[in-house]
Amino acid sequence: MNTSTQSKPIGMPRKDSDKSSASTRGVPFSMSMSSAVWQLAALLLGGLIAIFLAGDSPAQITVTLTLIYIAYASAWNIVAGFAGQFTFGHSAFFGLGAYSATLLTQWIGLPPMYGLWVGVLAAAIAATVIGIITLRLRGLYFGLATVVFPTVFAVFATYLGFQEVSVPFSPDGGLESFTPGDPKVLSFVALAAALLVCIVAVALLRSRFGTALGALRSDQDAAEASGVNTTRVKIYALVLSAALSAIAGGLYASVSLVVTPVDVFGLQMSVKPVLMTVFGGIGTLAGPVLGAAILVPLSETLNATFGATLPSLSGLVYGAALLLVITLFPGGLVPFILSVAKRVYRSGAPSAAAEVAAGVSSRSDATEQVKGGTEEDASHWMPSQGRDTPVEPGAPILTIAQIAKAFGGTKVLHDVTMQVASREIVGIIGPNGAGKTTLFNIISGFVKPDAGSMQLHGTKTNDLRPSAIAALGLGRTFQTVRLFSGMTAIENVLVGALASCADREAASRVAWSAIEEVGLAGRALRKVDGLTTGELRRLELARAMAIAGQGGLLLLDEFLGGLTKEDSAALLEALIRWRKNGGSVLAIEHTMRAMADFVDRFVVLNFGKVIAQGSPEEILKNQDVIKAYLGDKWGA
Amino acid sequence: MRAAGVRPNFYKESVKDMYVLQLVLSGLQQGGVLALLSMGLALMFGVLRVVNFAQADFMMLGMYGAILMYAAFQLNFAETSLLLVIPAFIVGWLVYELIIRRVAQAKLTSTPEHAQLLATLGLSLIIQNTAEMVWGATPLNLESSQQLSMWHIGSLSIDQPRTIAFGIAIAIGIIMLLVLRGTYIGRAVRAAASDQEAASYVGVNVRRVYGATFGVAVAISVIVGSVLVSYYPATPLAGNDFILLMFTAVILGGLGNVMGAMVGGLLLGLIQSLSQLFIPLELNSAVVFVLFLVMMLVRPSGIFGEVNRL
Repeated sequence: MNTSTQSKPIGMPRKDSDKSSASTRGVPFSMSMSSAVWQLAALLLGGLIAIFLAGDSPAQITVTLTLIYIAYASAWNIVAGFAGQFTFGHSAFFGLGAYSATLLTQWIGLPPMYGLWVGVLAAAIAATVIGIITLRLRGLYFGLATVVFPTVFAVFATYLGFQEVSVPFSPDGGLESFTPGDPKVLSFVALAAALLVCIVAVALLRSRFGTALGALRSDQDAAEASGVNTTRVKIYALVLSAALSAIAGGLYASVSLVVTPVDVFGLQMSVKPVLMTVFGGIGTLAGPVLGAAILVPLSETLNATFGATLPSLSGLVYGAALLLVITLFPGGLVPFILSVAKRVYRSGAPSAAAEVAAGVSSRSDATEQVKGGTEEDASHWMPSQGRDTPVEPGAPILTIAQIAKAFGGTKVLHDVTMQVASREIVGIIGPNGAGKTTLFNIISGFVKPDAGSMQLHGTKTNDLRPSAIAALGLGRTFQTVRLFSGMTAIENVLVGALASCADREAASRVAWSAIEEVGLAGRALRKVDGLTTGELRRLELARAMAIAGQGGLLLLDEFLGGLTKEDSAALLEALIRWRKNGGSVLAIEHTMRAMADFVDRFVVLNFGKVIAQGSPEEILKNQDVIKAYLGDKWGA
Repeated sequence: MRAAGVRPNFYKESVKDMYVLQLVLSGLQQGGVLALLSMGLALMFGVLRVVNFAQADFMMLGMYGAILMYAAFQLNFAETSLLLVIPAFIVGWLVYELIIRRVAQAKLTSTPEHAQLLATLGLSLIIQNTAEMVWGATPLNLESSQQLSMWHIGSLSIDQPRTIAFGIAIAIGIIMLLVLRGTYIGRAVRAAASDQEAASYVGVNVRRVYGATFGVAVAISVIVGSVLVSYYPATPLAGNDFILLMFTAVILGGLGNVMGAMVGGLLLGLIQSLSQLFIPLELNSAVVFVLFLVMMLVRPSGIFGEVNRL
């Protein structure tokens, strides 16, 4: 929801700074192109081998089915694995594909190859509607809500008399009928579909949208605060995943030859991609492929061998496979195999130590470059393209007037009025429960005020969602650090930078300058899960800076909490540089002493009211403030 | 009922009234069973944050249990459920210890509950397919004399097994609520539900509470099954007829809210039954789910919300 084009701040490092390493380094994608190409090639090759091995035997149907499920599971993985939105209702889209392909053939003689695309369109529309209805819900609620849609579709399909729609078999209908004499043909089509879904998945992972998906999966609120419109990202992912599922459904109809509501809209059909993906490894490219490639042939073979006597054996195997994977290695087969492979490789290769050494040296290189860079480059940040009028020092950046908020009957804030000017560092202090964090949540858009008005860079923000406010030039940190786990440090910053930059290159330059600004360039390629508390805080600050951009405003929520002296000194220095470069800061802290040295102004909150504002000296003498703090230990 | 004599077309009117009354009765009967099933689901979610996909399959096992018991020892369903309740409790506890607890740490997505949900999904598939191997897919009926007995009150006919099932369901439901609200055990359960860590500091054995909760929830399902089979044919997939309705009832009442689930279940039974007045029978289940979606849109936290969960 980028509400206005006129105010889209972009922080960009100076282009002429050849000394600065930032302009020459990119941010590596979490999936490298070569690894993606290898995996796609493996799928193509494996598919072709299977097709030719099966030849004209009945096993060819198993090959076709396997490829269809590879496509279906990979499509489900896009919304569930990449975006982290578990659905249990994908058969809604699968079934729409199956019904469109068959019904259009029956009604108007449109061959399934074309009818399929009507199904894709129908699935995309259905996904948009379903997304709008359910994606406000989070986590489990979302998953449960999606269960009902295919059931509703099944009820209507039955009601409309589509209990059993058969696919007209036309041996001489050619490729477009999907049922040519040669069963290999349908397998090739299915292989093409599987490849298509996987290529879309790779393209997605390697796009800026993919970075947003990763952020959303990891922490929805932090993603929103980094300028990611999480609702839109979710709906896009769902629509894409649904459309691709419909392709799989359309092909499936030509294999099963009969389409029934129970089969294509059933709970089983929703559960299958879940099973296969989780078994193989959710959120990975190879996971759903491997899961389907193992489970489908296995269950088909069991059905063919024992189907007459024990028809439920394959279902049992599905259940047991899921249960075993979840209890033994919950990440799925792919991560498990990778970790085993890594262990074997490590123990065999003495080069591991050398690798580590190389890593250390390159890191110290980076640190050196950073030192050289930050001392000379006073300004990494370029004025935004959107706010073309340069912000005058002292002009108001943030204006809030008469903000009030109550939770239930408790008034948390009343009549809060304050301003933050350009190049100003303002500290909000107040005892516990004074309403500081609520005020922050209101300014950053996570909580809507009951009354009052807010303006950021001259734009009214009352009705904007957090990502839109972030895109105006506001970067925030959280009281407890909220970074995107599973991503590297630089990727974390990149999420913020992407929200405000036009292209990935510009964003990666901004991300590198931000991470150098806080002295973490040497840690940039590490996963955040391995960083210390102090480093995490600094990284979160870097992300906030990347979001805010030049002349932007930082909202820092108790950012000095739990830091060593060295760490806090480094942070404060970065903030002073930030101000020098035209930025502003609004910081919450319990303790006055930590901030008295560097803030221009304090705003004192008590019981949801502003009781004093002024320079640190004035505030320290203010009687109201002393009263509010009496008995409180200040200067921990 | 209206004063029938005053109206000229009183006969027609009263027939319609009777029909509505009959629908209300059957809706309540169906809803009572659903209410108890949903309460088990809600209890499990409220305490452990586990959405149990296998909950309705335990009910199916109870159905077969009752059939076997009747065939072997001519036990009626009340006797069967008394007999099955302890083994069911133990099975539930074992499921918790062997599966749920193990996957509690697994983090598949940012929603930690997904791993447990998937584990119960796997369990559900195993139970259903094993049942099909053992008992076959053909529906089995309880061959007892109670089956077709009716009470007649005026032109109303009241199905005995259904009414008894309703009575048992509501009785157990109320006992469960009383235990949760009024006893030490109930307080321990609610403490563990609201904050696992804090509860363990004040001496609640959280692991035991969790295991026992799982056991109770499974036992409830088994009881429902053994009661239900007196009028509902047993099939290995019988659970699938109920699981979505159970989710709907639980969401209606507020996820994890045990009393909410009871009201949600009753309400759902009534709505399903009364919607026959306006909507063709084939679309009956669609009504329920459309209602569910409207609820999701208007008030996703359910009628009673999640605040006072248990």
